Amino acid sequence: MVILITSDNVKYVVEKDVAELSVLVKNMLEDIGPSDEPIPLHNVTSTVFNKVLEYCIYHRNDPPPSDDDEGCASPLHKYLASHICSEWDQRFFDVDQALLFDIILAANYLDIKTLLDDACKAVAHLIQGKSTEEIRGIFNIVNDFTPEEEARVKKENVSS
Amino acid sequence: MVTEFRELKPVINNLHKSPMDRLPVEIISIIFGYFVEKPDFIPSPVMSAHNLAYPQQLTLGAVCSNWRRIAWSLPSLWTSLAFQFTTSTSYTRVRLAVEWLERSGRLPVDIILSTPDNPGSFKQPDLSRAMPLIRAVNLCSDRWRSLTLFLPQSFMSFIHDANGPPPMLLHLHVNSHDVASLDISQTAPKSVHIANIPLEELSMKWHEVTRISTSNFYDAHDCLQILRQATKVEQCFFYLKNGGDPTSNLIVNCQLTCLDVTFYSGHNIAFFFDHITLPALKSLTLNDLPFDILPVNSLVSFFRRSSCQLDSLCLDDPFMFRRDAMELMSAIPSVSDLSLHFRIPGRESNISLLLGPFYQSLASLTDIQGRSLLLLPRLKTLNVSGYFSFPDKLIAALYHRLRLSKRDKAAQQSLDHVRIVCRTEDDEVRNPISRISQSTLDQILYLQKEGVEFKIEVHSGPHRRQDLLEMSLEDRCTEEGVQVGPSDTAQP
Repeated sequence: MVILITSDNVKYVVEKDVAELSVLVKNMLEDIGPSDEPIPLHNVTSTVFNKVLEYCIYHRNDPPPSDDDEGCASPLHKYLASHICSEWDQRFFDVDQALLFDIILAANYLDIKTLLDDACKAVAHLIQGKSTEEIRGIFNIVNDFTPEEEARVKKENVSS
Repeated sequence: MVTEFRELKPVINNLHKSPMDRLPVEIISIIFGYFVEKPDFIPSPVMSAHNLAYPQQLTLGAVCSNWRRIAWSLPSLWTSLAFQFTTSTSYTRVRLAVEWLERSGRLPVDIILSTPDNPGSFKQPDLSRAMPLIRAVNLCSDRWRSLTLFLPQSFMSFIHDANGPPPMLLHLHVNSHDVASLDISQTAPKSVHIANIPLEELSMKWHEVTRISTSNFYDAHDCLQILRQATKVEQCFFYLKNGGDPTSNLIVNCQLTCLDVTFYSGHNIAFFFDHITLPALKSLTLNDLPFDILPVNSLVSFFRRSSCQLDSLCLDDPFMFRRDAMELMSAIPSVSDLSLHFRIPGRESNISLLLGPFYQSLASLTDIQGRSLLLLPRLKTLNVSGYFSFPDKLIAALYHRLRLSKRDKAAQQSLDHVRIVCRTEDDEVRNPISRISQSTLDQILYLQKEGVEFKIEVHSGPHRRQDLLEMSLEDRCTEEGVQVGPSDTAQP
């Protein structure tokens, strides 16, 4: 078992194989060796870590992602792998935007590649097939183009 | 007012921070990557050309200046370009496509260039307007990962591998609307698909090619020359017309495992197989065989010369005499998968003439030289389809084959799958589908009991499929008022 402490001082006792899905935690465990010392997770709050932990427990037995697999897989396989998440994953990422972005940042900090990729796919899915205006609305983005830039953007869209 | 707006803009932006602003650039890049990803297993140029009308990359660049900066600086977003030149293509659009390629940096690129294929139209897209993009495509020749050209001669002749050969061009797809030439003499692709372009007008290196396909007829002589140069080719899909000089040299290709040929006439078949030896051949498909006697001597001689371990043979509309059928089957004892298709309707009487020799050979225990053995001893899967009534004689032949093999312990039979598709254009109401006769059903049930699986269907029209075996068994059930299935008593 591994003890992890989130930034808001909540303590988690996690099975080692689950904790080691995080490359950050795995490296820390290797560095400190056998010890009961809790590992601090400075950049993750308990609210977000609950979600991360839920994902890691569900995916603990998944085969690790490998670069070789990517090279050998057929284009169809790669496309399906990159576009289709399981129903569980779809439900998992059906959260408010703030939490989704927190999960991304946590996955990036903890170095959990599959979670980072799946969460990024979920964000990409939010804007798939949407117009520029709709995308701005979804993410609360302000159109900050200068009139000259705006004219160029319009020209590109007309030409395409 | 404008100045005031510009001064206030950063303040407004700070007040309304987007959640995306919290993400580092490398994560935004990953999201953008998933956003623009397209299925590259669909090679249709029409779809790809259509996709360019709504490029996701440009949508990203139109959201805000930060997104534009990030999207523009990510080469991986710009590695696929599909561009259709039309009569209304503007300079601006061509310039956009050139910039698109420039943004791909040094990454391998997939390019599709096309023009609408309107044979009746005199109006061609303006070449001078297209030239900047053609030059840009030529300049990235060392980065071509796949190149697909659906262009007329006037455009095609300007495509060159100007910047050296691509180290690994995976796919080259050339379809010219008219007789064109293409000079990419330094390029050595892995996979080639060609249509319309004469082979002597296609200048490229063939030694890396592992897959070749054509979608219109080429001279058999030219195809043989390709097989001579393409020493690594494993799969070939040819449409062959015309023979060639009968004194041409014999060509040996030691890598080819799969050959699928569509012929224009019987003479071509003999010429082609008289001039090639394929020791590694595993699968042979001969499509649209002309309604002519199959040149069995040439084929048999080819198989014996090649000494190949052929696994699969598929023949479309084969026509041969019994002796020829036996000779052919004797020459390919390794075949485990045999398919015979009769695709042209209205030839039932001829088909029964054609299939007769096959049935007789299947049920024979002697080869052409009178030696005692089962023909096609490794046959596992038999697939017969076409416009004919249910072939009772085939079932009888298979039944006798099994009985013979059981009687003669040396002749093991391995058949385990039989698929028969009877096609009909008849209206079922006027001409109800005939059921399988009782005696044939008994033979089928016996074969099933011995481990042979059957799939027997009637296809009427493109969508209506009926399970003839099931229908026949149900009728028999109703008539006899009992459940019928493979049982110990099912022996004719």
